[in-house]
Amino acid sequence: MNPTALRKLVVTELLLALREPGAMFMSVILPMAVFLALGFSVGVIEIPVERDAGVVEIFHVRDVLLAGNIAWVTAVFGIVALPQTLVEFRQHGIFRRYRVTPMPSYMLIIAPLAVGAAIVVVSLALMLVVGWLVFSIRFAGNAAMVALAILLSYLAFAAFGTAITARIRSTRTALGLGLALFAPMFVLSGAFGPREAFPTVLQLVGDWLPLTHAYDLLTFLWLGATWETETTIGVPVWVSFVYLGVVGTVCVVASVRLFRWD
Amino acid sequence: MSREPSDTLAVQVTSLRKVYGDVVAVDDLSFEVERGSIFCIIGPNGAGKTTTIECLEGLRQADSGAVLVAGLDPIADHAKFVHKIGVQLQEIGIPPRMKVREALHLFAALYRTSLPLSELSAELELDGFLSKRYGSLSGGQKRRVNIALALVGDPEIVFLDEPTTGLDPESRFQFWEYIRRQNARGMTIVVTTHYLEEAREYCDTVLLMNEGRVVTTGPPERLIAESGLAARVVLPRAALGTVGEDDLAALPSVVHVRGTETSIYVYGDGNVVGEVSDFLSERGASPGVLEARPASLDDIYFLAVGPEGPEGGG
Repeated sequence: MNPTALRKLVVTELLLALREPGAMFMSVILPMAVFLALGFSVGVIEIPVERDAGVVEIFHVRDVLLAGNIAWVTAVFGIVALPQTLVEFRQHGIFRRYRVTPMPSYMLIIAPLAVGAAIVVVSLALMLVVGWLVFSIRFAGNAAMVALAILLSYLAFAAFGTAITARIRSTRTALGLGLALFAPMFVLSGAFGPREAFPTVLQLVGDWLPLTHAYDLLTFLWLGATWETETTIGVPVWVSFVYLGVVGTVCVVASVRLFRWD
Repeated sequence: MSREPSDTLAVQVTSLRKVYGDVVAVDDLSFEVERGSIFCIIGPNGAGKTTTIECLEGLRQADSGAVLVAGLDPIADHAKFVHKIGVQLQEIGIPPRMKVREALHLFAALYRTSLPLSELSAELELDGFLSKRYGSLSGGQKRRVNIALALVGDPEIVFLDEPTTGLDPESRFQFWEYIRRQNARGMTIVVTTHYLEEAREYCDTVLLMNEGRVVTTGPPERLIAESGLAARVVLPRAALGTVGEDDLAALPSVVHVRGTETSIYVYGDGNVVGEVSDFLSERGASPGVLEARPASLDDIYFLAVGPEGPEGGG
């Protein structure tokens, strides 16, 4: 595939995404609104973080809100927005149409993934700027580790969303399924409020949900956690990394086996 | 069963067979399309036209038989094949939120060469809605966009599945004018249609399919000549008295008779008008001036396919 065609495809997919107000709202506006709303309310609550030498460093909730938001933004994209694009391609015969052109089919998955990544980056950048200007948020982590965690979470949820909608031929059905899966994940991950407030059984369910791992991973890494730091799930950070990797890999394999082009 | 690729043939189909469950969609179908010709597949709904064309496009794998398009196997040689063909499918194929202009530019970028977009847009009358979203277009507008996307890569061979369905007469005329000009430049056109007058007027070769098989194939004028049909006479039943279908069918010049509630249609050779006229006079029936017209592709279609066909009403 020639570079001009690739560029045109990505630009066109970006324009299509911008014309989908629901997806933009969920990935950019809603996280910003949540960030500001929580930042001004519970944002001032202190988070003491114990360092190795027994030193306790004090952060505030608003410092870490952004990291948690990005975790569920990747989930919104993977479970709700990406399947909308792919199911629409299936529903309207767009995969079939491109199959009789020189466009390789896999590009029709790569292009929305690239567009989604751009939207996540924009959402993150906007929250960083607003967080820095409004809340003077602090970052104590390793930027590369945080970036890796965002990427892993993004790909794992994209694979998850692709796998569960691999044979769905209606965008409405895909939207219903996506929201039905995302909503409980969102609540039980702790992004909606502290997990400790939930009944034990719901906490246990939450422990197995990928969004809980992504949420803990990002918030803990943001505050300077190491691979060995134990998160609210009760496992070290590296276990959440591996867990998301396993979920992603299983879903990629499932997608490859189940995916229908028409 | 396979064969050697040919330089003079755009499409070579040998004993093609495709089955869906218990339904045999295409059965032992063989035909050839000459390079640079306009080739038309006609037949009733369910005849296997779309299945055939989708096998040629590489969208469906035949159960048996061989297909060569531009000397290539549409599935095994897919990467080369897609650069040589253009396709218009019956289904949507474009994201509803994509604007027409975006679709044209994107598709043009996929090919090594492309037709001038301004000319394509003007000829297929897309100029009025280039900035509109595909999903907001009327059926006829969508069809024209899909035709434009099939042609934009300036393919060697273009496959059009019912391109003129839903187009008004003026748009159909414009479409065929443009197609003929592309054809004159050397583009091979493979098209399906329900409009038999189009097939006769614009196509070099017609393939009439029914129930997945070839009924007849050849240049439309030759098919008409070889059918033995020269004319069709329509008789108003009310004026025929005791004369019925069987009486007319017994006349030597008559090939086929079909009665409806109000009329009897008589198909026959060059003598049919005179013979029918004489016979009616003998029997004292007085239908007045006989309504007759030269035989057409419709008649051949009707006699082969029966009253279920789209033009079967006569």
